[in-house]
Amino acid sequence: MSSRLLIGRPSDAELGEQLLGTTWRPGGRGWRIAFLITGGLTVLLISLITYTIGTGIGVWGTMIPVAWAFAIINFVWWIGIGHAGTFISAILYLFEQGWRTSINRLAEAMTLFAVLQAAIFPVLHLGRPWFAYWLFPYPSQMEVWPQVKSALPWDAAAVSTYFTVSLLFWYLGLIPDLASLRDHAPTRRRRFIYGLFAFGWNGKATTWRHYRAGYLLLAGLATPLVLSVHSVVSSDFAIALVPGWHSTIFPPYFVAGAIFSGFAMVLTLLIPVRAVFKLHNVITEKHLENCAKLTLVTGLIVAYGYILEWFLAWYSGETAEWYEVWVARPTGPGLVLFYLAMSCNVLVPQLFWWKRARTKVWLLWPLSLLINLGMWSERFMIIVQSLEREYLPSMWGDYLPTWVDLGILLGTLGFFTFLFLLFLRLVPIISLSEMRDMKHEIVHRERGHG
Amino acid sequence: MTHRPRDLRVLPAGDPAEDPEFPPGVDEPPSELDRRAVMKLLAAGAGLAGLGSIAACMEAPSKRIMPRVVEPPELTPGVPLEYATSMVLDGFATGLVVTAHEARPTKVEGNPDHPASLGATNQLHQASILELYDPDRPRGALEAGVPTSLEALLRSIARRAPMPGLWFLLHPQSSPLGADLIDRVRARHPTARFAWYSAVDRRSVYQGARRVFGRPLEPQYRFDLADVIVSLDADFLAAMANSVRWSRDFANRRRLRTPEDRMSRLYVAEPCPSPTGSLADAALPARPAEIRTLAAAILARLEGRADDHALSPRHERWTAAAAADLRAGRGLVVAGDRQPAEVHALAHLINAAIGANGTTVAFTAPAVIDPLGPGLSELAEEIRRGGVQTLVIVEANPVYSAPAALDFAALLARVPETICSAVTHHETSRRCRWFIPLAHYLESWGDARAYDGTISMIQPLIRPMYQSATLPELLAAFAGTEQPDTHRMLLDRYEHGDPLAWQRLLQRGVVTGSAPRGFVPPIQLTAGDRQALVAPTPAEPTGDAAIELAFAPSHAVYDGRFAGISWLQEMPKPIDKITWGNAALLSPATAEALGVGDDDVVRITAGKAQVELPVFVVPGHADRCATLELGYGRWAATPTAEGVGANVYPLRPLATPAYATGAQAGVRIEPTGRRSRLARTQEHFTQYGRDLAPTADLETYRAQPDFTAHLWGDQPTWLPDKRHGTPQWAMTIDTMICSGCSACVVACQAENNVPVVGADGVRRNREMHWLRIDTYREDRGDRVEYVHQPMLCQHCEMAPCEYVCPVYATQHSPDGLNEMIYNRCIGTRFCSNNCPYKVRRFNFFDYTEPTPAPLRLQYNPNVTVRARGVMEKCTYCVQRIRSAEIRARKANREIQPGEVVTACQQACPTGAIQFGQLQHEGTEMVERRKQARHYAVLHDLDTRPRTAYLAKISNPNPRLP
Amino acid sequence: MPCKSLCRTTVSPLYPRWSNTVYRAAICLLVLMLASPIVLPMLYVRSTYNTNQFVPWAQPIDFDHRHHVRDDGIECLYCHGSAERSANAGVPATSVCMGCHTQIWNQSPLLEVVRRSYFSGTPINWKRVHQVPDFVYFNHSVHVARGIDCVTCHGDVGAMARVEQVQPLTMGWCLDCHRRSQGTSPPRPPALPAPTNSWSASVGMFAKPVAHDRDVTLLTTCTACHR
Repeated sequence: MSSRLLIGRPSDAELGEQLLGTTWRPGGRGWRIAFLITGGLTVLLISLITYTIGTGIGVWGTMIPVAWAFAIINFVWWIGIGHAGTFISAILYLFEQGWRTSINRLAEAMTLFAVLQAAIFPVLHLGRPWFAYWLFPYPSQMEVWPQVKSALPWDAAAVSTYFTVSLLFWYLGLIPDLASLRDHAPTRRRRFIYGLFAFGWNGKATTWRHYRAGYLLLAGLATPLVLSVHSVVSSDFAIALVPGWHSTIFPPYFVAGAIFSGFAMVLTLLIPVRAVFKLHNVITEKHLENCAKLTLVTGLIVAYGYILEWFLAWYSGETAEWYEVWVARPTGPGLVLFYLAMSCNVLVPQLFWWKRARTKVWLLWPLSLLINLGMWSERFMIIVQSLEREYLPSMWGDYLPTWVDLGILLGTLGFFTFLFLLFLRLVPIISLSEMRDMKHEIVHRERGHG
Repeated sequence: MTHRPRDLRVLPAGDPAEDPEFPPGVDEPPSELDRRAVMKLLAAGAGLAGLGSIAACMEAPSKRIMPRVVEPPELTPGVPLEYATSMVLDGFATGLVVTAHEARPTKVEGNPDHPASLGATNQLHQASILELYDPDRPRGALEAGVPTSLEALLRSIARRAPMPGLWFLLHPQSSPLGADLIDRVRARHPTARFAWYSAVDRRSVYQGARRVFGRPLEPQYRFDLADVIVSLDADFLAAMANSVRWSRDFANRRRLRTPEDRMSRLYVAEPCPSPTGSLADAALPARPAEIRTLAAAILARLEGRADDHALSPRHERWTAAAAADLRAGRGLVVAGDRQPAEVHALAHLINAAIGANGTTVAFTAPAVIDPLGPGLSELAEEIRRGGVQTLVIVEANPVYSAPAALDFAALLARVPETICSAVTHHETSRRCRWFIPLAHYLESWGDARAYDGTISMIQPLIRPMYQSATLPELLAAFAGTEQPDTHRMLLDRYEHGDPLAWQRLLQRGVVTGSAPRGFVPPIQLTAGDRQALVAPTPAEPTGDAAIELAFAPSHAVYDGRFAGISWLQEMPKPIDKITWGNAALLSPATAEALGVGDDDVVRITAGKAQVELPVFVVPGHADRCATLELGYGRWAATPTAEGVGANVYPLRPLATPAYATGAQAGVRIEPTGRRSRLARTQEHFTQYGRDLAPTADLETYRAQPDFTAHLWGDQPTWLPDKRHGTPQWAMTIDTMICSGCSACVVACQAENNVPVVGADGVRRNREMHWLRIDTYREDRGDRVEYVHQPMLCQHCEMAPCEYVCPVYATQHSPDGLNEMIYNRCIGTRFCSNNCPYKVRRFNFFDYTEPTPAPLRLQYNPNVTVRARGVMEKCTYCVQRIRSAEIRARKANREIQPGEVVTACQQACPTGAIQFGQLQHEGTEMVERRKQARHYAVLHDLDTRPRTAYLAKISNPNPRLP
Repeated sequence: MPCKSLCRTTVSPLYPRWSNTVYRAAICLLVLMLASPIVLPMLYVRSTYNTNQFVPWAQPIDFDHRHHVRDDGIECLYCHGSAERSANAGVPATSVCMGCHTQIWNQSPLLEVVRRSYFSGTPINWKRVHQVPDFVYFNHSVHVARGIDCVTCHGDVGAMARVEQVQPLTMGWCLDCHRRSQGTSPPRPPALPAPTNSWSASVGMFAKPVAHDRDVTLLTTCTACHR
């Protein structure tokens, strides 16, 4: 734990003022505009969802053979992004990585909102969404149960569990800060409302002890989820015999990809937030660099996944599989996205071997965007391109999205940002309590050594 | 909300008179199958099953039961009835058995007792039922567009004094009753003339016969006896008068049971691969105008004359091989209807030369009345001379289909009195003063002759939906009968005071032994005439730039008269898989020369006429030639028909209506630079080296009978075997005798309430056919080999679709069916992704909701009508299986072999599709599975399909490369 | 300066004492609210209100089964004959009623509706009592033939003044019987009379679970009822 995680040695009060203040300092014109735009996109999303459910998913580009397209791509992409949050807050917590402190809340918030976007699609993409509840095991009057051989009921379970646990975890972490907001917010009304959510928190030592136990417990709970959720999601494809899907490497490959895209998204959000709220003293280059390093590592795993896919396609000797990976993807319809995926997910991260790329925001930020784009393209490549060229050439078909597809994707982006902006305005972006602890530790050690 | 086809959706129960669908004619004695009875039956049915839905909790079911007041003895609500009848196409009858649920016809099937059917049908018969329920059928008679009383009209006609200049324009007719009536009309109106017209003209057949034998004759071919068949531009398996029967005969000669079996060899010379051509052992791309030369060359070789015909080396080789084979074996030569009389004459001479006449070919008097009687041109001539006072047009649609040079519309305007009668309005009917709605054949009594002359009965399945008259009634009116009644007339003709015999006749549908015996007439040919025939045609003066146009009746909409039937419009055509429209079919070389490719729009000019069509490139097509499909581009028909494709009739020259050579018509084709995407159901026609539909020639097969050994058998697995206990259903399909005619596709659509999605739906790969025909072609040097592979749910024993469904909406039944439960489906579409055969279809929209009321009457009540958002697919006609099961269980017996027949199997003219139980040893289905050449598609995935295929074996001439 | 905000908290308590109780209550309520949308519908679909059981519907004619069945001893199949031949049991045509009622009670004002229907040729508009959804292909004839008796599903109609539905007719209910009877019920023994209101051999009598019987699964497979 090095001092590079905190620049300057602010007093608790100063720290509180800086971190809690974000919630009551008045937002400028820029904020209103941002809310307007993202709010507009949210409305677009809602209206398009209504339109789809009202008319049928025929308004999308899906067809036979490509029966899964944007909806599932978006689902996998968003849920993947959701992974970084829990990874940072749970796993890094268990590994006692001090640098997680100043970014974990933001990352967790991102997780929640991303999973929220993802959760739209498994229901929306159904032909008859109003029967989505049949996916859950309940004693039905029809005496029929969901089929456990299929990956989809597990999907439903995994995603809902993941969301619940992440929510609890995030909220638990929030409670002490809500309490301090209750005590420090300028107006009585604010204090009253924050108080409601603070669950009557009193900073007693016992409370803190229980709190830490609970937090550790949830961290332990959340950790396996990070791995399980995307493994389950990957089995949506791995259990099928579609060439390009039917592969045992999918679970690790998907999880790596998820964390990869997750960290990219963290950077995408972190860098502007840091600039806007002038948090350079608490979110230092060290944090950015660590994120970049992890991106590089997971990026390498993803690259390995690609290589293995190509190798297995050749090694399996299965004509369709080989054609899919070696011919259809690089030369077939939608090849653009194939090359996007390859360059953004394999080449771009390699820049992170280079320190400047890890630390200089003007370089890091665009790269993080590229990686997000790349990961979306990867999902397109895996899902759509595989379905376009299956076993019977007679049923090969080329996919084309409709404006509704694009609109919904845009809508989720808007909705996501909207929620994130709300988060920035309503609760402390950085966990005050944890920052305090960390500061004390640092100061303490410095004293000890001095 | 998926519901069963129910009547309350079809007709609001209650007072029929209030129902706009049902104008006059509802108050008839309730003892017969009149509409009132239907109404109540429907209502009863309604009450009994009500209007539930998958979300039964969401939609209130109907809470009413309305039983009939008096129940006709033959009817029990819920028990379907079958009646024998016939459908007549250009004079030739095909025997049918039609199923009626609660007195509404729902399904057409072949009549096994009928020589032209033998229980099979073609796509047109299957689809014809939809025309009965066409919501745009005229409701009554019109005078100058104003509704008038049909009875009054007929009465006034019957009372007319002898009319001078009375002309009739009819499709070719073969009805014995009709013949009598025509005589009676002539007796009353001595100057009356009858002209025969169909856009698909067969006169050249009779002219050819007359030229050789001195009188018009109908050749009767025995394809089941021929070792060598040479087809001169004759698509005798799919596009000719007796094709359904001939398909069965041909297949019988090709159905290899053991490698040792002998099979016939088929030579086909034609411009564009046809279903027949796709089965050819030696296909020769040849422009229509070249056919005559080929025929003459073959004859020359057979007669050992020095061959002085200018032939390309390839044509040379082909004719040589064909002639040699014809001399060697028992052969037969068949000439295409569109070929001129000379070619038919030459064919007769060849058949005579090889002694085919009497063995594989016999002759009968033509079934049609007055085969070489006056036609459109004579009528036109007469109109120009002002000799036509009254013109009665029945069905025929010359305004649409006559060559541009004739300008029939203008001529029609010059006739003072025009009466038109048709089932639905068409271009001609809209230009006539009087319109008399014609009864659909499922509504009418009548008789007609089959191709071989057998007399076939036509009996109604339902009282006329709307005011209408039949052709005999119309003629009778002209003959002076004031209230004509076809039923009465038939009784007079056939009952002979023996009601029982009459009943039996109706049950059987045919007058047994009414077919004339075939005979071989002596050749009456003057030396000069013969010389003229065999003389070489002068080589075309035009250079290589010149392009020839070949016109063919559409495989889907025939000459355009079926363009209003959505099933046919959406039926992928056998060779190009184009739906909803026609294209200019070109050979790769020609397309390259023109600098165009698929979907590029070209402008085609012939004389003054111009048409724009998108191009589709067909390997195996003759060079410097374009094939154009007739029957599209209707402009004043029913909404379904209008504006689909382009009308190429105007391009046809008067002299040779079937083709236009560059020389005579100055044909030009030039690219427009525009593109228009054809609605095709298949885009990739090669197998990309994946052994999907293996083929072999006879030698290879005999050398190595189990050449498909690597394509069947189980992979090792720990999963339990599913093949024990209970009946185990399975299907085998012989790709060797599948011509791709697509009768099965339409039959499946009719049986299973499969919706239509329209051209745009097809372009977006959303067609709903449960059964499609995959067509693959392989370039073998200079010939292209086609193989048709009917592809439907394979009912895999280890179905990939089943284990991915999260809600058990698709499951395996103990009797080996892959079940699809619509009301459980939530539409994840995972099953479709995981189906390697891609036979699952998805309701992306609510395709059935917009179906207009009358069309819903066709729904099969035993099959759920699928609503939006559910997956659907072939069920092996489970409704038929289960009802057979119920029959058997009630009688406490097992299901008998052949008791369950799927819709596709029933329709298949060649018998390529066989269905049954694995336990039933000795049935065709089981026998085939034991043959060495059987295989499973994508066998290496170990899905263990229940549908087995037999590899296509061709029998090429070793002397031909 | 931050100290100011710290001191402020001591001015007056944000919440009164009782707010804790309210708070806890609120949380319990929240939990209930989350649970109810799951539990309540499950209760509803099983309620007789949802299944339309035990509702003696009024009919256009006050037809009394007790009289016809008990007093006159007419058996079910006399009027509902197609139950033996067809999927539909059917409601008799007016002519069937008139078969007797041209002879007896042919003046009765109670039968006015029947006579009007018969002579005017307009059907009687009965209220429907038993109803399965349209995607369920129930076949009366096979059930009758295999010895399942009317009473099993329709209850003792002979004892009803107005017909009411006594069984839930839900999928679960159908399945129970199909599983229990194992489909082994043999065809109706000739010894037994045709199923009437009184004859109640019914499933129980033949319920011999024979697991290996070929019918076992054919009876419970999906397409047995859904096609």
